[in-house]
Amino acid sequence: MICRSACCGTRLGSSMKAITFTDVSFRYEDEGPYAVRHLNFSVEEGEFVAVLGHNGSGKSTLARLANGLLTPDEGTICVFSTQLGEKNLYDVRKNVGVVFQNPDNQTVATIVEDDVAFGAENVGLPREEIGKRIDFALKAVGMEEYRHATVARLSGGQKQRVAIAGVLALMPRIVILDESTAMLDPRGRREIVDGVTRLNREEHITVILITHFMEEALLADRAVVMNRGELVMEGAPAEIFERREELVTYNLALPRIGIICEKLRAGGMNVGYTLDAQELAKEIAECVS
Amino acid sequence: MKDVSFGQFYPVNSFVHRLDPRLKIVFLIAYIVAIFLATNFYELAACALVLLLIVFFARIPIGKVLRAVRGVTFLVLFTTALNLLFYKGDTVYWEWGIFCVSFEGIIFSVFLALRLVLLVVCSSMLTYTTTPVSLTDGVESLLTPLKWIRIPVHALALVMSIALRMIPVLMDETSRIKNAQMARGADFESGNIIKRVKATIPILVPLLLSALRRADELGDAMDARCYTGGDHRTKYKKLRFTWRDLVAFLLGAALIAGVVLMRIYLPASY
Repeated sequence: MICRSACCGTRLGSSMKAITFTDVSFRYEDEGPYAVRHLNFSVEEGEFVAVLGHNGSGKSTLARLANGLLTPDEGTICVFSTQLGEKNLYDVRKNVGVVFQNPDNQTVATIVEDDVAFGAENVGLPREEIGKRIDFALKAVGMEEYRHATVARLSGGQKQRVAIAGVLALMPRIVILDESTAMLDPRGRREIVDGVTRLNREEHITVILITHFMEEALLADRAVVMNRGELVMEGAPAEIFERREELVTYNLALPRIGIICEKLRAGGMNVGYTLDAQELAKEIAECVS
Repeated sequence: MKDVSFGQFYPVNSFVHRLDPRLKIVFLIAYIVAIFLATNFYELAACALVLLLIVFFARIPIGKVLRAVRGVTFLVLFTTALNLLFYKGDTVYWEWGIFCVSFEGIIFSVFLALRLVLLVVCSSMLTYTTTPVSLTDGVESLLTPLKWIRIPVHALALVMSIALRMIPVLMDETSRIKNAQMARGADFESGNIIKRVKATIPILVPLLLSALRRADELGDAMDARCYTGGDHRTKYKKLRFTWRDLVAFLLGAALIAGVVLMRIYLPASY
């Protein structure tokens, strides 16, 4: 179905819109509070966008709306040139992969390759093609050696990489990570963030990274901040983190390096506010000497 | 939790592992029938020998096999005790009220205990050597005729494989909840049996809630990966009947035939 509303199918410059939310509102219960309210938001194809927000800000709802797990009460959502509706959910989901928070709750099979194959089997691909997809997906997340391993025996970060591979096997053009790093240790988080950054740069997959870890947002092309279901800030990550006072009102902390700058300044050291570790090191060295 | 081995796949690449899951399932059923047909120790010994061969060819460590038995120790001891005390034999050693211990009773209860152990070991060999996915495929394939009477075979098979896959996750969860309740002063170890059963409620309720929450999330994750039921699905791993399966089939058939023949030609005594 080709979408006829103004939001879809339009090309801005050379790039195409991957996802467009037009005036989208959603609430989980009638009469309840809105989880997402009059949201206007779009992502370009090939872009890496971080969505920030504290708990209950509506950022996970955004992920569920984007691939049709939830249907908006008002407004329209377009994925490439298709407007999401009952009939095309299946086709849209092939293009929009979602990785959730808890790796244990999204693995269907016991063995890594069987789980990765699940999505590809669902869309009825021939056997040889599924095999190729498994090769591709496991390679993309660096888990080739674990192909025949038992999922339960892997570390949290590895399990989550398998979950990403399971989504990649469908060859989506957009991958949404819905707080996929929240339950992992720092090392696991690193593995995931590096992995999706590579996917974005090398495979040109559009990435929407939903997180409350500010460090992860630094890698994105663009960051948006959500608060009470509304989009309240938008811009390059460095730009967003410049607006410190504003972030605090949305219950968000600065990235660690920003906190260090603030503390140093509060302690009387004359350093500028920066998110670049090398620059900060240089400034500290100057102050000390 | 260390003891969760029943129902868990043990990954080595052995002859038995590579057999067609359908064959293994059918063999398990035949084997169970054979142990229940067996009425004397010769026949049971024949069954045990076959099982030992399977364990050997499956390259499953003996410790693993014994662990499966350990899970049912209580059940085995309980039934053995009942049989021992209530079996009415001729050569009575000890009698008190309705209880009596006789020579025949001892033999009979040992026999039943062995039967139970063989049953458990053989069933766990199926899950040790077969990944849940191929087990599910096997069940699905064997149950295909039921599709004609509109039984959702694919869905049932999927439910089964997810249940198997969730065992370690839920076991972890159980021990976590148990520790959490113990940290708040819950007592699971003392008191009579009724008190102990009651004490498990604070474990079961949160476990059930979390299982439901997990199910919900898993459902979403499956939806997100384009799951729409079994109709348009393809299978990455096709079941194939190979020479290995033929060999195993012949061996299995020989076992059943053997037990039946022994039953006919040997006197039915212990």
